[in-house]
Amino acid sequence: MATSSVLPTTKPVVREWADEDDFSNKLPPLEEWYDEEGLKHVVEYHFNEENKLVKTTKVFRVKKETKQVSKSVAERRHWKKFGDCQRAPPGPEPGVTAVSLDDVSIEYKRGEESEGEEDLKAKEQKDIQKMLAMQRFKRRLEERRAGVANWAQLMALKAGAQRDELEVPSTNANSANTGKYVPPHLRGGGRVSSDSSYTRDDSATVRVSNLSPNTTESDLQELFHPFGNIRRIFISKDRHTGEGKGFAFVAFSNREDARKCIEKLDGYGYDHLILRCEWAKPSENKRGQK
Amino acid sequence: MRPLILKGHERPLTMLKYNSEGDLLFSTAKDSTPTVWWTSNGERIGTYRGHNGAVWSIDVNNDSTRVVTGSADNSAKFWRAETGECILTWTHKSPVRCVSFSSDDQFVFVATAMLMGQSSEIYQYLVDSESLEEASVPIRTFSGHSATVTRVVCHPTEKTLISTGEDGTVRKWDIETGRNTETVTIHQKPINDLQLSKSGGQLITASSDFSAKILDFRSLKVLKTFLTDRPVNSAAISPILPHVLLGGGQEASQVTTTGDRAGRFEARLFHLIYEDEIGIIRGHFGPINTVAFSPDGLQFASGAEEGFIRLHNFDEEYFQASYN
Repeated sequence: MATSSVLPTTKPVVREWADEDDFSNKLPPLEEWYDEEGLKHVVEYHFNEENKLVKTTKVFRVKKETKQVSKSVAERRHWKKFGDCQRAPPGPEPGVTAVSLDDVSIEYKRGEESEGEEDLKAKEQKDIQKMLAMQRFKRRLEERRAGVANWAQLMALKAGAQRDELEVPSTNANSANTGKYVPPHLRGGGRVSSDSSYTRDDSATVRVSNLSPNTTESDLQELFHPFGNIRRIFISKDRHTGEGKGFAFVAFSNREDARKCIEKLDGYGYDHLILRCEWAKPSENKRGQK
Repeated sequence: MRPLILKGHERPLTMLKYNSEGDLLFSTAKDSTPTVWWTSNGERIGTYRGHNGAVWSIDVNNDSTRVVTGSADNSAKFWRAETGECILTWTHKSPVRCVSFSSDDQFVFVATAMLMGQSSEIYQYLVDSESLEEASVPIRTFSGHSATVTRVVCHPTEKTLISTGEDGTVRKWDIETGRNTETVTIHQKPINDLQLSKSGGQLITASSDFSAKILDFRSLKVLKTFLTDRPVNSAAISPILPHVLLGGGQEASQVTTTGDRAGRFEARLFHLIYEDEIGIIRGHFGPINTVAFSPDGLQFASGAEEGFIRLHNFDEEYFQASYN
């Protein structure tokens, strides 16, 4: 079996006008010889589209590889070509079989270290968030158990203060009496208590719409932080796909900052979309219904 | 590695099949000419001329003297492998989806599609006999399929036949009685390919539901599942390493809507035991329709929607790398 590597060089031969008749119909014969280095030279002639004679010299390095094969395989090596390539000369047909020009390699799924690192960071962050949420939940449980309105009161109680000294909301006491759970926002007769941590001050919140779905919190942080201190950013996401719904709320600490932000960023082109910034509508009604 | 690119076909490839020694590669495409190639240098040996439509399937017998092909022109043909001469044509009432030799080369199984008001059937023909009349009538029919049969594979030693369908079912048949002995549904979408492991003990399925599964031949129990993010059109088990090769890509009808990176047209190597992805081999610019390992495991061939076959000889590195 021989494998060949091809190093073709094409050299057009300019013909003399006197030679015209000699070569007009027939091609010079194919020449083949081996040089002293063992390289095989093949010289072919053909006419190109402009009917000019072209001489092509191909130089091959012929490497013989011996491979032991079974008898039946060796016999099959003598099969003659048939069908569409019946008339083709022995050897691979130029237009049909080609060696890939680029070197293809198996792209191993490595680089997991860097990926892993990123994953770890994200995981860590998630863990912290979870831990904090758990803590908040525990505090609330303890608060309820002690029958106090907030953590500070509970701390004070623990420090030895008398219950009477604390301003325990009466509704809380009622709920404790009846043994019925009253959601925090309904304690105090359904009115929204201003001191409760459950109410949000929406007066400095900006509603941003027409965002592209893949906007992240950090993108918005970057976009909005020049206007002032941001308390929180909320991006509305689809519950199932996790894709952004195209709007977000950015809460500033300062109403003045929010106003400036709306002034500047309403109609601002961001990520090929035109942002719309407006005051967030207060959602008190909604909360009241719950 | 520098793959050999075989450009003999003008239409999407449908099936690739190595002969038992691995020196020949048989290919079929949606053009009407099944082709045979040398695997050592990619040289085309010949084409089997006679079909009149897309050719869906090809099989070669153990001593590489006979070839059987099945085509959408409703016929299956029996050929002399060396000369490309058609010995026999079986005509059916609907397109032939799959053809397969029995393990002893005595029979040929021809599966027809559930189309044109016909039910899908597997016909068994005796091709070992001397008389052509005897060979031209089916000796047995395996019926009772609820969807088109996509692949038929015969057990190497037992008298059992496995067929897969477009409804995601795998059926086991008794060759002697023609009875359907077992049916399991393991995929939600059509099963596109079914190949045997080298020992014949396991089967691998490839399905449009983005997964490939390894089954135990006897019990039809799912042993391993390989998950991808694109339809899997073909799957093969390496004969020498615990590797699985999957070929697929997004559906051909949606290809024009995305670039080739997004299409995931690469062949994917998975670890047989750990079910993890080992790596990918790029090169095709259409979804891969069929993949096959050479019997010595040193080479694999892939054929894609763009009409090219790529023959990859694995580098030394592939055999030395460890994946644990």
